[in-house]
Amino acid sequence: MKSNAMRNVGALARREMGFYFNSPVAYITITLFLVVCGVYLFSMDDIQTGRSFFEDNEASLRKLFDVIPVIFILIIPAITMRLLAEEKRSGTIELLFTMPVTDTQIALGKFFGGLAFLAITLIATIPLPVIVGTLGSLDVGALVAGYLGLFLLGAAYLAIGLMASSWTDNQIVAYLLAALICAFFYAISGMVSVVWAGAQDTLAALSFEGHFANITRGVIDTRDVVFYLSFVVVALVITVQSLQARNWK
Amino acid sequence: MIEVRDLTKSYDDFKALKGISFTVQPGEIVGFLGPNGAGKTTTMKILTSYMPQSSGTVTVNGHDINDDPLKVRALMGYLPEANPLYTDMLVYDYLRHVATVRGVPKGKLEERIRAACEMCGILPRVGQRIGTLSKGFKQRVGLAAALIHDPEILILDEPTSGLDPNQIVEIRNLIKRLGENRTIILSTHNLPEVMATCNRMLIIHDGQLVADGTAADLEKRESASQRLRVLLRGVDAEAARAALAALDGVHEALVRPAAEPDATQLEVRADEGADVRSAVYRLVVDQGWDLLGLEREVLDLEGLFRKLTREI
Amino acid sequence: MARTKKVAGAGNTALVIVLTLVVAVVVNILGNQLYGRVDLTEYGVNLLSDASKDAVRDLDGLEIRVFISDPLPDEIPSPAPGRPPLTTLGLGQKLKDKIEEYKAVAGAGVTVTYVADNVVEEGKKARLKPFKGKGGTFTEAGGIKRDEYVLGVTFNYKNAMEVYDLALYPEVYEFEITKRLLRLKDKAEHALTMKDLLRSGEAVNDAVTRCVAALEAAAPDQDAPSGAMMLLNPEDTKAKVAAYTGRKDELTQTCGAIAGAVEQARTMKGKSEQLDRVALVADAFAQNLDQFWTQLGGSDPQAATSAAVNGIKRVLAIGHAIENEYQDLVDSPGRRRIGFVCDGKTFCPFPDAKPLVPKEIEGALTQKNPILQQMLPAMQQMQQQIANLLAQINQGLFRARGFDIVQIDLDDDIPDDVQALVVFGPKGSFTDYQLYQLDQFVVGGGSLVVFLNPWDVQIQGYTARGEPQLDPKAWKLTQNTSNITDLLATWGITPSGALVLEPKKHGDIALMTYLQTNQGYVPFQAQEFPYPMVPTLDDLDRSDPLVRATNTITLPFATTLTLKAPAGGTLTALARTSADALTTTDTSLPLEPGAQFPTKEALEKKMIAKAADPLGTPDAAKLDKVAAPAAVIAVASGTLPSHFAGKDAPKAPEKKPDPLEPEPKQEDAAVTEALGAQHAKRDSGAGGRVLVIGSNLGLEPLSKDVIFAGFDLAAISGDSFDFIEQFRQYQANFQNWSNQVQQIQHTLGENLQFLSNALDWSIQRDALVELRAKQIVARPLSTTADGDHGGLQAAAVLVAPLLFLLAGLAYVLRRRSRQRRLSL
Repeated sequence: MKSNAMRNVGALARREMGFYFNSPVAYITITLFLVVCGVYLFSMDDIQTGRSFFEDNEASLRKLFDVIPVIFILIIPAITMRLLAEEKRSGTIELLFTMPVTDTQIALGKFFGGLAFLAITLIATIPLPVIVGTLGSLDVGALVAGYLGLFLLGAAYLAIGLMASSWTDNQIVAYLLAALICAFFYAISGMVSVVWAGAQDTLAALSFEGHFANITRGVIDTRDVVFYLSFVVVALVITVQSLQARNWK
Repeated sequence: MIEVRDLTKSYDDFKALKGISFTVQPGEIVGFLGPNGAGKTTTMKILTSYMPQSSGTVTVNGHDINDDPLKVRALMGYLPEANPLYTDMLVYDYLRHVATVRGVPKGKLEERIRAACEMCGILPRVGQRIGTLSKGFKQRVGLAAALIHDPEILILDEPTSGLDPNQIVEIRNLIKRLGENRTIILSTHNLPEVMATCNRMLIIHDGQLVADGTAADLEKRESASQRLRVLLRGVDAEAARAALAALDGVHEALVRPAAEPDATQLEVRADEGADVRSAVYRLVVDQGWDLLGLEREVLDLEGLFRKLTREI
Repeated sequence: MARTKKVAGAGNTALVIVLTLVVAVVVNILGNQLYGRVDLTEYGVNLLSDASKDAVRDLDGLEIRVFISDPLPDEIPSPAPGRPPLTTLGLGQKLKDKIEEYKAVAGAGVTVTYVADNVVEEGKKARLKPFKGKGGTFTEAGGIKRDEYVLGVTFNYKNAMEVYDLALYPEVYEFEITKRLLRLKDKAEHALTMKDLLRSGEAVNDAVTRCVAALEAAAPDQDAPSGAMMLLNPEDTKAKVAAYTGRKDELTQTCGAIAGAVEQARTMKGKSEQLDRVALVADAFAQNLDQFWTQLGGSDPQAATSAAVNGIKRVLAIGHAIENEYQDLVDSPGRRRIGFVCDGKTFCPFPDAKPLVPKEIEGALTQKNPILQQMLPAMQQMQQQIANLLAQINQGLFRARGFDIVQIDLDDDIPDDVQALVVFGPKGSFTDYQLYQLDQFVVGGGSLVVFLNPWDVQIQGYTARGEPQLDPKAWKLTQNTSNITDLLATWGITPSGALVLEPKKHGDIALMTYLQTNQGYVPFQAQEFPYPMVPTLDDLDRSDPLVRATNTITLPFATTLTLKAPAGGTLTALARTSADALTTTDTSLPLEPGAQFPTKEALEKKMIAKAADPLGTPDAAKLDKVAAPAAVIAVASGTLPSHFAGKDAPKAPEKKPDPLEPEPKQEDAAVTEALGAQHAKRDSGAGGRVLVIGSNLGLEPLSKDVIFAGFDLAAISGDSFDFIEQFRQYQANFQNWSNQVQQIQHTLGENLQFLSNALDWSIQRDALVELRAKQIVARPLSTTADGDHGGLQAAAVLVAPLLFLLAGLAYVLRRRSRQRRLSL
């Protein structure tokens, strides 16, 4: 039974990967992402410090790690928006729902499909640290931690995007919802504390940004990992529940 | 094999199914017949556990569709009404994907895909992207996907809709072949299709089952009475009706609207076995009416269907 | 097997979601209590290093009190002026995390208390400095009272205490905390041996504090809203006079304890500089108080009023000053100070307050020479500028970085709590006795850090006429000689004196471009030129924490060091030149940027020019290739021999009474003798360490003697003295100093970390060196990244997408071909 579940999740995930990479979608998205990253890292001034990479004169990808979470808010919902919304619109969801797979398997399959896309996106950025590494000595540990952080953050975004996609059969709506939720949780502490300073600490604990900052510093803290994973779990549970809503009386 | 009892389904206020019961035996090819909106698709969606019923039970091979949906799904192959497909995939990839999820063991994948393709006649197209196929081929791909895991039960929702006549014939033949060793439920609003392929039909109308039986059964039941259409000219309609009704062996006579001006069309219902045509003829001659036409209506399934599903 | 729910309802779904949320929240809250962290960075930047762990483990029974205002304001103005405000988000949590890390290491030996109520008040009591946020409340008087916050920690160990307040920079938490823990340990240990001194000081302080409190309570200031602008109210003053007069007996009795306490403290005179100062201030307080009583009780009502208003203020001011002195005493046990040697024309970051021309004779001079009437104030202004600059450097470079530095005159005794001596860029020589002092300091176990100043370089120097020398041919390279090299040679580090040129790895020099106007040359814009005489060293000894995290050190006008380990001692080269380095002692080396390594064509041109004008252009300077990478920074440690071994110890110079200082420092003959006896001559000793850096980092001496070289009171009074010319020379000297600093300014920033490391190392705070290495791990781009970035940028931007698209293309092609072949 277990192997059945794994086989099903795997097959569904592979189907999603196939969609991305057998059409121009993935190539356009990832190329765009890479160009933006490269230009920002090497040719643009840092948004916060206002200095360019060469002015900073530091062999570090920190600048990139600071901005990728924001780029992800724009890109990951674009990946996830179709996952369920399109199946609903085109009716293929009927095939899915009448195959011997559970709703959980469907949600997981879609999620892992997106995760594989995310992984490939991150792998595609590896030339950037390699270039920086040839210019100066890079802290490989911090780099690994940064990538892990991006992966976890991206996973949380993906789960949110999948959740939004399960709520509607309109991809645009799914995209906007997902981007909105991601942006909200990314900057929640800053935005809301303006209104309500008392809740700052609680909100900071909910903020993607705060948890991400730790990881890019090079520390893998179980608290941050647990935070992201619980976000993923909650979003997936809501997705499954929203799939099952068709069974409501 | 399939047992449906008191199935109802309501969408908000609208009652799509008002209590349907039937059973399907192994090996039967059941045609699910009814006009659009009668509840055919709803029934099929419930059977395939795509959506839940409001009340009633469905068991397939002893498995309740609500308690054991995965087992039920595993037994079935399903071709939904609109034939949704992942158009971005290659035929081969699509079939492989479905087969994998359907639980076809790895070693048998190629064999099953080949068999399904062969059966549906899409072997030369396996390397093509689904989106580039013609409608008929898409339908075959859908069908191939539905039977990729060699299911015991095949549920086909309007398998021929939107196809050209040649394609329809091909698909019908295919279904016939498939029905040789499995149970098939197919829905259609097209009677000839059922007549051509099914050995049993269920006619559903307005959420209710109005007829259930083989084509012969139904034909026989309906031909228990006969009808004559009489077209007269220059007669008083009411008088003519009364005269005809008075004939021996005639149940009743009805005035029907006539296509021609100053002609009167009458419908005469008579007992089975009594050929009242000569009596009518004699009456017309006696009365000196102009007889424009006298026709015995054969009550075939087409008529039966219309009759059963006519809005009252 | 997972089953689809039998006809799930909306309520069911809601329940599942709520349950999941609750579980997620609970897991996260539990996770916050029970967590683990892995630091993936190269040096474990984010977790406690062993040095910190050892520091906290050493303090069994340490009490930590944490003060965190809750809530903290969103952001607070930066303590450093001109910087953007600091956001405080998560600061409290980060401080807590750090403290918990220490606690986790020490276990039961450490108690941590989080002060929860009245944090600000409690914090202030514990001597934590509060800071202000943006919010506040309006006072009745119409002003705004800004809300105050505290964020800090106090550490108590035995009787000693350390405070870490304004903990606003999480990246230095570990460094600051460990620094205090190390100090705390020293302090607690030494406090035991200094028990009597401390107790005596405490008695003095108590007596004075009680007296001050009583005086303040006797006639409290009326709460006047206008504060300092308050006009004297005759009624008020009268009341004050009456109050003090009425309570005189009572107050005298309260304050009577001071005399006894001071007497007691005096018996230990000479044992602690700090205690002496406490006693001195207390004594001054008592004397002023007496004076106050005399004036108050006098017959002159005017004097009495003045005493009641102003006299008492002075008394109280002195009374309050004792707090700092006492605190200094309390902090003094185990303190490790760094002495800056100010002899031998070194760079000495202490402002010299003594005026060039004493006030007493200024009048006489100006009367005699009217020009001086204008010149002397101008000179004083310049002197003030220099003093300010030195004060800034003192604060910014050393004190703000936590170094307790003190000025050392090698003719005097070196205070006991000075653990290290720094000789920064000596341009001149030392007397035998001064060398002897240095020598004995090292042999006696002290650390010596020497920044050499091998070359005097004048580039675009100002002439006495106040004009920059723009012609590169006029730029001068002169070798400095200092006999400190003899001393260093004893320990195996012999400065070769040869100037290092790195043809490939070097920094820049910033030269000013000038606009010629009718008012002379006006500086227009600094422009940087690659300059081989500012070598960038990257061959550093990574096993040594001193330079481990330093990527490169750029040392302007450095010399190589010849190393030959003395018997019993060990020598380590911390930094070496590259194998391509060149050295020269040729003072004709052209100083113009780019002229050191002329191209072939340029040389040919020169030959032609030379043929035409044999005297015109000099030959290219003689450059020697280094045989092997040569040391530029080196450390000697182990058993070090004395330079004066086998020789007689030089005699200490007679104290010349300074004619301008009316009261020479009183020296207790007995104490001097006792101290002198302690300092028996040693011929060798272990524990001492010598760090030699072949460059002065570009910091030329800025002392009065150097800038006002040749200034002589006697000469001024003479008639033949051309004061205007002399003054111009002083101005040029000062201008040249700042010129030189600006020319290599960019290297200063780079070298700061190394400088700090060297100082911490010198006071044996190796743990801090290690921590600093961790804190700011410099990862500069290699010099190949210099120059035109356009191509690099384009490549960097394009490589990743191209590689990805290539991989994508390969995949698509493979798929296509498979598709074509696909048949069953």
